[in-house]
Amino acid sequence: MRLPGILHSKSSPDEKGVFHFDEGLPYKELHRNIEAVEEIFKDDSILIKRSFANQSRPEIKCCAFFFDGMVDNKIIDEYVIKPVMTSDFLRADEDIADEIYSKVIVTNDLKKSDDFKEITQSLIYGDTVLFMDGSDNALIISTKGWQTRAIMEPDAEKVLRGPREGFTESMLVNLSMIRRRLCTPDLKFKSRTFGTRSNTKACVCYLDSLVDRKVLDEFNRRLDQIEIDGVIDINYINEQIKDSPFSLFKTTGITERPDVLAAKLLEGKVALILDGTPVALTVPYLFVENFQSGDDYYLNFYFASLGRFLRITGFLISITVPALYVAFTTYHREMIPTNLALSIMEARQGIPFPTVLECAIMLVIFEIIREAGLRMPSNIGQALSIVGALVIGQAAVEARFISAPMVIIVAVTAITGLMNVKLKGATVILRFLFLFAAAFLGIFGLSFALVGLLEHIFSLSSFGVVYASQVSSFKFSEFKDNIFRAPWQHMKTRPVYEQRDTVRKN
Amino acid sequence: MWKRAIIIFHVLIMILMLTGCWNAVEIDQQMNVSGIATDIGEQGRRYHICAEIVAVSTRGGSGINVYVIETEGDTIFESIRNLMTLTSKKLYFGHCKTMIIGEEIAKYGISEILDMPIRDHELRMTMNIAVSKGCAAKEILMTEGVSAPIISYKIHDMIKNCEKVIGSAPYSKTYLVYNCIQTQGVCSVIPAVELQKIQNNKVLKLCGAGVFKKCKLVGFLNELQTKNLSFMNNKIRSGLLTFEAPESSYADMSFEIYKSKTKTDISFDGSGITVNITVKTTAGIGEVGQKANYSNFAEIEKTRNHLEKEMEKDFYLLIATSQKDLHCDIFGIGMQISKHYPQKWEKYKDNWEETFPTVKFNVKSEVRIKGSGVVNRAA
Repeated sequence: MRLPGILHSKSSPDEKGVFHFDEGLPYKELHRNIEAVEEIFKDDSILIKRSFANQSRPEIKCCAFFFDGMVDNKIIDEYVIKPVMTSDFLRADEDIADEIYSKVIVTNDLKKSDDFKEITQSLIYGDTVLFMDGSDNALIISTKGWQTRAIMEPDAEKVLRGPREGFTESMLVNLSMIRRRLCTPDLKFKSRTFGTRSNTKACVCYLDSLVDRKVLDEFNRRLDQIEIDGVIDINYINEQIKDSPFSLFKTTGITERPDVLAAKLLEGKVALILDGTPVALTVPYLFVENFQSGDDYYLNFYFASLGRFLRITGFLISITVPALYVAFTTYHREMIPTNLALSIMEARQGIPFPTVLECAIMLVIFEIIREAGLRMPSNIGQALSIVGALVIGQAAVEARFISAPMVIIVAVTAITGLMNVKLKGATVILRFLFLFAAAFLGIFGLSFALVGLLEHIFSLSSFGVVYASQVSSFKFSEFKDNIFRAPWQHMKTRPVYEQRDTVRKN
Repeated sequence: MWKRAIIIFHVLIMILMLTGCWNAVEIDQQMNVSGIATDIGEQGRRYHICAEIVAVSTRGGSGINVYVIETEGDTIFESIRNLMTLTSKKLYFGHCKTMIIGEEIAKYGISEILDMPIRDHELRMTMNIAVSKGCAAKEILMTEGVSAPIISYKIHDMIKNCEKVIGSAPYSKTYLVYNCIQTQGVCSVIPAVELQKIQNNKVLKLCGAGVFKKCKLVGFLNELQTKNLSFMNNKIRSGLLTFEAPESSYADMSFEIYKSKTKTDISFDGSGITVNITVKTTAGIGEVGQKANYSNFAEIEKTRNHLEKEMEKDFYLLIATSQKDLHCDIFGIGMQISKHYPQKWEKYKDNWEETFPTVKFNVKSEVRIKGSGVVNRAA
């Protein structure tokens, strides 16, 4: 038989320093419950205790606990405290909790609980807990009302046309945005928590009839294996579950847009939404997704295909152009058109560094400028642009530290590199690898590096799905959504990888 | 694991070490040779070589400077290596586009000269070959360029443009010339350049072509003859035809060639060889100096007949030159016989030089006039 009271050492951490909210039962006596709660949250001055009694029957005593700032005060005042205080039909007996539950409190989300674990958890998460003298049940009233950031368009994933909503740090808001887009009971939200200390709430979403069970099981299995004390951002989880963790390429997708997430769910993917971060995780992730943007599906398919094509070309340009330039000017001079060769020759007169070193220096300088631009306060941006453009762009060329063609090469590389944000890290590193391969062996070395890259991409997989699916074969249906984006009426099937229901429309 | 690493290591070593030459040279550490001129050596050596070098100005100022350096040697390769003793930087021939062969040395033969560009990788096989006419090759390289400072590139462009627009210079890449020399029953025809005096200035001019028997220069064709040769060899792509008007009191008229196709038929009767050449040309009227109404069909027909006759006349003149003056099969009739009638060729192979002048030619020109431009009636 379970006895009332919190079981041992509930309020103090175990030897590892982790709190366990073990089960415990509320007491019948109000003051003991109050003592128990105050024991759990001792030294926490944000917790507010509000004791009150019924006006007509003062022996009905109640006490509400809630955390300041996390609750909607209006709900507590108007719909919890006021009705309990003023109702004149209450009797002080054992059913007091039921009475109040069913006849007094007028909020919609109300729960009766006799479990201290649940009670403390809810309290932490912004609910109000109401203890009543004479009842060994507590009422948990949903009064979550903390301040959240407004729904804004995410900066990292802007679109020209199409939905402007972006995820916020509040998971419930995020879930509501997804639910609004997929109005079907097929949409499942399975909640779980991460972090032994942070107890961060998370939610696995998928469409039950579309999801590949193998992927879902594998995803859950990997999530179960995570051991971490606190989860602040989705990347804490991402790095622990992704395939090939040391690859340059991402094998899990992230998005800040509910519309993108909904579209991915419709492709049979699984998503993970974490409370406290506006970024959601999707698996499996394919190589083509690096080049996809929401715009591709919201704009006319001609422009969408053009954009997709440019992004893929941009990636290739960004990783190969410095290498090609070095290879051509130091090994294969006969391949440069004569006039161009002469002007490169002229520009390089008196440059103290070998071409490869010149190129590497400029690329590193660009990365420094980019990183500085990212980290510095925005109001000193002007200084950076003057130093960047004038000193490095113009003065360096005039002082003959750097040749002018190199500035062009690095500029082209940099701009195309910024085109594919999702591949940014891979692009930077590959660019340097290719550069040194080309400096060492010319085009021959570059081809080597490219073959190596292809081999690597084709060897990756994401949650059991081949990473390069959709680009690996010449199946006609695969071409509908990789380099080109076919008109919607022709995209009759979902992307080709293992899943149950591939037909988009019948 | 170790076995795998060792295998990979060996594969990499082999790939890196056994794959041709690799040599990184910074682009500014070498000098660009744009063209070479070959003449007979003056100081007892076999060859006198001039190289046109394009150097870019260092620090400050812009633009390119062109120098010509000269040296001698007993082989082309040696002479080219000797050139390097005259410069501080390595010479680079990847952008060398023209080789001019002096008239004098061409008379002795060009196959030795072409051997090195074909055999060695340093010079490119796509280099243009030209022969100088009336002067030494080095004089050509040393002229002042009028519109383009780099003479070799100028010649390269001239040859390219003439081929396309005027239709008068035969194709002249090194490997084609070399192939042509090696082929039986055809004489190679290489563009010729000469210096023309205009008001005390010597100006470079493309002047038809030099005709080579085997590998020896035997004579020159003028621009008109070269163009007619292209016509008969089915090489013409576009160009102009200018003839006297039917009534000679008027000024000449010009036609623009749109399309031309030549068919050569060889027949053997008894002892002799007869060659039937049909030139089918589509042309447009470009300029007329006479009063004519081209909305009138008969007028066009008249012009057409005149044009056909004039063309045939020119073709026969060229045939006479090749048979009587040059004794040279510039049309490649022998080559065609060897290709299509190998058994018969066995008979002519050894004495083709004597046989060629006896070959009978029947030339027929068929012209289609496509338009008279935007003017129907000349004023």
